[in-house]
Amino acid sequence: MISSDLALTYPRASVLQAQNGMQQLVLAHQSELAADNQIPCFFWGRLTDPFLSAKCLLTLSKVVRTSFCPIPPVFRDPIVSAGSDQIRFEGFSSCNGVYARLDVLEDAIDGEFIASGTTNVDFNEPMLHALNAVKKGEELIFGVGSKELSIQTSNHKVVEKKVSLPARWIKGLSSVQLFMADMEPRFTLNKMEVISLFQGLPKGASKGSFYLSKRGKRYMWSPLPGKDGVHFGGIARLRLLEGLIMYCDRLQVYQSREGTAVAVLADFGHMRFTLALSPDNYRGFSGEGNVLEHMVQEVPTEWIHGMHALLNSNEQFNPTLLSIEHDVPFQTMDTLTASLASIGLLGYDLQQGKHYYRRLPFKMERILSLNPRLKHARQLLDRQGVQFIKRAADQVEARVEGSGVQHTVLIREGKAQCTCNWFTKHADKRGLCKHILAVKMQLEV
Amino acid sequence: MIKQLQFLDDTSDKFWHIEVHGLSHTVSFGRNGSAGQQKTKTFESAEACLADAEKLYQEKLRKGYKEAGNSREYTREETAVKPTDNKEAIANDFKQLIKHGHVEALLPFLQQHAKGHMEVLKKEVRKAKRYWMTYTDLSMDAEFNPKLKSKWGIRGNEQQQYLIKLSALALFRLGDTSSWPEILDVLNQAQDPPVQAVLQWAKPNWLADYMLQHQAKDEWFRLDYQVLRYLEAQGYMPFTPEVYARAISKFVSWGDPQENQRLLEYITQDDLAYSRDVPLVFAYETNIQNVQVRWTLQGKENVLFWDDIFDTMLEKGRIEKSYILQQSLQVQTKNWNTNLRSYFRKLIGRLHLDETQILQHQTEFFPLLHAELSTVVHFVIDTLKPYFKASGFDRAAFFTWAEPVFMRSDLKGGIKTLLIQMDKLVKEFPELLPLMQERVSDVFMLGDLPLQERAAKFLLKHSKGNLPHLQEKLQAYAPEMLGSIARDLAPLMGEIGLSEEEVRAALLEDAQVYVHQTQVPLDIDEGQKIQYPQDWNALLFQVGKTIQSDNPIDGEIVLNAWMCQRSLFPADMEEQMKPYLKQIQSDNRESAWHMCFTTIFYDLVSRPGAISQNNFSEYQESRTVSAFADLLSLVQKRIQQGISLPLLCLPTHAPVWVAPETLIERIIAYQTQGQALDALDFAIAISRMPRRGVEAAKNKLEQIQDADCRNLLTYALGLSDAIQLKKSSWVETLGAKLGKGMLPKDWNALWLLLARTHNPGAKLEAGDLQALPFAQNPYRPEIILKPSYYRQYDYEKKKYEQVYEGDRLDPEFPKEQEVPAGFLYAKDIYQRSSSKRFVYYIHAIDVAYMYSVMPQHAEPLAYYLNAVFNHAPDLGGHRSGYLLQQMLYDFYRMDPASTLYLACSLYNESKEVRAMAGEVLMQTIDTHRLPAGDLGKQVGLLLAHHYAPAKRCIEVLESIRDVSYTHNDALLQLLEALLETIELNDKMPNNFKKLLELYYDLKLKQARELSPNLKTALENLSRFKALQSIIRKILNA
Repeated sequence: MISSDLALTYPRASVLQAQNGMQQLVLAHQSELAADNQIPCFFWGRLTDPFLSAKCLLTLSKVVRTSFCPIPPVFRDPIVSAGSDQIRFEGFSSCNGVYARLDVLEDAIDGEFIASGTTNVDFNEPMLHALNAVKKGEELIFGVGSKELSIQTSNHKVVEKKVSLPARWIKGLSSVQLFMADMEPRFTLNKMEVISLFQGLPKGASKGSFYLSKRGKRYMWSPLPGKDGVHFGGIARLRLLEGLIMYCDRLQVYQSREGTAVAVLADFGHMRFTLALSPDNYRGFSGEGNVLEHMVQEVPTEWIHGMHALLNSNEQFNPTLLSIEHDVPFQTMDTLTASLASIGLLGYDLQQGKHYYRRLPFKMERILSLNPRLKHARQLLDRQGVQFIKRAADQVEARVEGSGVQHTVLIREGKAQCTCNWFTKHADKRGLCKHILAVKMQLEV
Repeated sequence: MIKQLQFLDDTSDKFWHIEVHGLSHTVSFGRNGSAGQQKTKTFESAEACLADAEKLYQEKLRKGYKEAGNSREYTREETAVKPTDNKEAIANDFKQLIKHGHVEALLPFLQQHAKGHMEVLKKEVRKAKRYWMTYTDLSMDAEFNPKLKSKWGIRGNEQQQYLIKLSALALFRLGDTSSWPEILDVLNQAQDPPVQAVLQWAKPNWLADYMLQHQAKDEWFRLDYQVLRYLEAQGYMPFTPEVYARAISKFVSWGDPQENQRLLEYITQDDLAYSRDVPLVFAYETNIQNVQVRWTLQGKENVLFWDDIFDTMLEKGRIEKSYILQQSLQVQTKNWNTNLRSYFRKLIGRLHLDETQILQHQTEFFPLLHAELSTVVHFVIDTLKPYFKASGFDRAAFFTWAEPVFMRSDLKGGIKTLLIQMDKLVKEFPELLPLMQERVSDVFMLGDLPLQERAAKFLLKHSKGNLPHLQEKLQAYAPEMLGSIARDLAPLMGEIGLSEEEVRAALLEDAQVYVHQTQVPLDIDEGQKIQYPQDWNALLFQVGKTIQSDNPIDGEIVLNAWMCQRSLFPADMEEQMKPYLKQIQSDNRESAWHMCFTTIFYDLVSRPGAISQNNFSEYQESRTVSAFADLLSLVQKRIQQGISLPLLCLPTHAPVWVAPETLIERIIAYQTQGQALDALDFAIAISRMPRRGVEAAKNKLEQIQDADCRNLLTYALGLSDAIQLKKSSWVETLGAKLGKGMLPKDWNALWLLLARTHNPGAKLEAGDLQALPFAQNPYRPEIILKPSYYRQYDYEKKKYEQVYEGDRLDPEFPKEQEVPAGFLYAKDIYQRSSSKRFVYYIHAIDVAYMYSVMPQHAEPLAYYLNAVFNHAPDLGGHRSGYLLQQMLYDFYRMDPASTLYLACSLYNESKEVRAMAGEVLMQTIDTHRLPAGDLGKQVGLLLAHHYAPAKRCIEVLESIRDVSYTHNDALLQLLEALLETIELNDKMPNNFKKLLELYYDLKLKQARELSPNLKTALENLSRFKALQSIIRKILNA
């Protein structure tokens, strides 16, 4: 069983330094999947806007090294998907509440995609410091992996780096895609509006929730939802973007349908930077139960392998194609798409409103072992802890075993309710409780 | 079959074995030396059992377990682990050793016995720590000396403790040490012979990992550097940069200058120390900014140890200036402690770099213009400023990198410096002009008048001809320009399309002047009708909702169901309620309302028919909230008596209303059942009843037989103006005592309640209740602000001093007196002892409840909460925001106390509260509820009394600017009243000028004339030098 943290060891460190008279940014990579790990180099080429790329990477590094809750910040390396003429970087804060993705699009790179795949890449202090000094108009060679076997570094000795990735980090990576797939665009701000909006951000490490809304011609922060307010929990986290806003053409704001999680997308034309914020500082994406509902239905294993053969990394995922290929009804396909995202096979592109293929560089059983609530629900079923009082099309009522008490689960007009602590506290805002899950699973049988 | 395995590594020493008996197998596992745990599993067939056992066995082997000896048949007796006599004897010897503190005996003992008994001894060490080293209650010990002051203490003496730590060092592996930071104590004495000997014997290979592990948890956890080097030399401590960085930055001794000198010499002379370990302070976060070697209270002689180290190393040529410079600059982008980063900036200053050196490294400074920390950016600007004109300075690169600086409101000082410098540079280097124009025009993004004026001046002075790019940018920024700047820059902006007059005309089209309206919109919206639970399931989850709710009405609905909807209860009601009762029991919400509700509700379910004997007084800080407890008791009594009538005050429409027609129907139902009305219940009901939908109610009024009641309701509905107070009569008093109705005093309380609700400012005939606040007259004593001081120790004068911290709000309260149940407005208006100033149990739901019982006249509530939350701006914390939330209701009337509450909230320490106050400001202007002038006077009064920093309030006011013409107009009225009435003493509040700048901007935007009064007031304010320029602008505009 894989439940412990995953430790990464890179063969060498990522470096940014002059090589043969040219600045080269070479990222070291590592994957838990042997096939990907053996690939020496995924991409090799030139960055067309090195200054901005550097700024974006620095912002990404800021995200992966912060923490907004009492979990101490640990530098967690981002993962990179290369393929389909794009390179996407994804990263998570240590508290799992902030997800960042940098999409480097076709126009921002000029080079060769040697292989397609997703892998962890090393971010280290010296490299980041060097990124700080990248100037406008400078030439920069960029590699995900290296073509050469060994790279001389100025510090001679390459220290082997061990990074441990906790389970919740990996889980967050899959949950956040579901959040984003559920998001709708709310506002589009131009550069001026963005800057004045950021100036109006409440100062200091404000933990409170604020709502972004448009009053007259101005975008404003308000402590109240108002008519069209977009909820930002733990608003200080938005400041992570501060270093980028003066360069973006526009900023799009997306909000999840249930109205708690939010994502902003800074558009630079040839690059896009997405920052997704969990509903609050203390709520990581990993702990949100939105994944669970989709996992009631299982994904056929042959698909997982089938998709890898069928699609390149970053390639747009077309459910219709897959449903025809495998003869699956279209409605089932929607839940299955979500399932595929929840097991780390799909990412979600907000701008295009479509999923894209990328296989997280972790073993499948690691990802599958990550949902305790689902496990507990299965245990409830195994123990025969669910008894139906009423089982009709319009109303389901059941008693479910709790600790020392019997909980009542009621499903009426598509809405599920339970008398347990979890539901009383969070209602349906944080995914289903294990009791409702168990009832739903029993209904599937 | 029996298989026995064991597992041994750095962190564990455990066994696992399995025994198969026909259909079942038993697994035992645990720490070696212990009996472990056992688990038995039964199968349907012997084959399945054997197969499963084989599977488990193979799994263990894969995990690294090794066979313990030959796997052979054991009998049960053999496998059971029994402590042998030998082990017990060794453990006892070891106990004695520690008890007597025989340090010298430890090593011989270990040499003789440790082998094969590691686990026994480790266990003894752990036990010994618990016994000898824990701070605990000693009074039960036999040796306890009752004369000691304290019953608590530590049993072990120094020697015993030393021995325990030493034993741990000798016996432990890394996995045993996670709760043993104490080992560090003996490690720090590694050069002492006993420790040396133990180290030699144990040869621990885990010390570096041990240090790393604890270092991460505790920032004070560190070894002496010289000890560390000793351990390194002995081979116990491989080079681990984090550990070495921590050690070399350790605090030095204050008392012993010679010791420090020796350490300094060691660090600066030892090869590895200065070449390998000193540079680590640039790579790992340390505390070197705090390591002071000489220090006096007066701060005259503060010398940092690391200043000495770097000075000495530079002197001896052990380190390069350029290295320090580069590294110190690199440090600035790290996420380190700001003081530490500041230390490295000062270190650069100490290098006294000359022009050549700075210019040589200029490109390393530039990227720091993008630093997050404003002090870092300011440092770069200040350091490079002297070289702006130097021939080797890359001005173009500098101003290119400086782009984000001009858009940051936290860099105003730096922007000002750069604007001045650019003005000087542009003559000499005209080729830089386009770049500078780019930069300067970004300043208009910042809402800062002086900076904008400076930027406009620069552009007007240096920009000639047609500049399309600049023109475009300025046009985009035009809406952000303050005061007359947009007008001044018109020549550079070219054709905007509309002339100024046209723009103003367009604005005025939908421009609405702000007028305060005292009548608030109030309506009963049929769409807001409250749905009471229709079936049991709905009721069940309504209970769940109430447990978490901040809306008191949820609870009232549940209570009503328990009185009137018992027919919905299923047979297993109690069973189904159990999960909620369990939640209530473990619930720890501190709200008084919530505690009242859950306590009584728990009894209602679990002991139906009983009356709770709870005394809520300890957490009932507000008598208005206590009213709810009284209602709860009433509910219990009614249930006990089997009376199934709803409370009169149960709301019918959200958020808090009782529809008149329903109220009258309820009273008729009481009449029919011969049930007396409860004064408090009746009072809350009429307080929650608006004069809406009167016609339907009027027709039913005649069915009420009791004349007192009918008269009262006639007035309540606004159908009559006659207030009919009662004289007390013994007949009625007796009747009331017999439970046949209310006392005359109770009736009078209801009359006054209604009269005050509908005539908030009037003088009323109050009869025998006239002494109560809000009865005869609205209770509006003058606002009292009193200076407040805190005590602070002055180290130079060596005595305590009183330091002024601003004035505090101290509302006046009358003496406590008896208030009849129905006169809700006087309940909380009485003088409390100063210890009761702070409240602990008033939270969101409590404020919501208090407001819900007086929604048409919240002045008493605001008056009370001013004292509770606004005495000082940092008193209420986020709780101050709860009343502001109520103010957002369209029907909330902004009475004088509420206006003062809002004024105080604009200064509240909590950002969230201020943001909420801004929201209230915005909405009350929208709905014309805000007495803008009154608010302005109170904001000014608080400002003049130094209640809190002016900046807080100004930020909120600025956030309202330009929302609409009306908002600007209201804001202008607010500021006019403020400036007209403010009386400043000699000390002008900081940032007061900002307020004038805001006024100036709005005055120009709204094209408002100065009133004579305001003109005089402004001339009077000109006595402050800092204000003269802005006042001149206002007067001349």
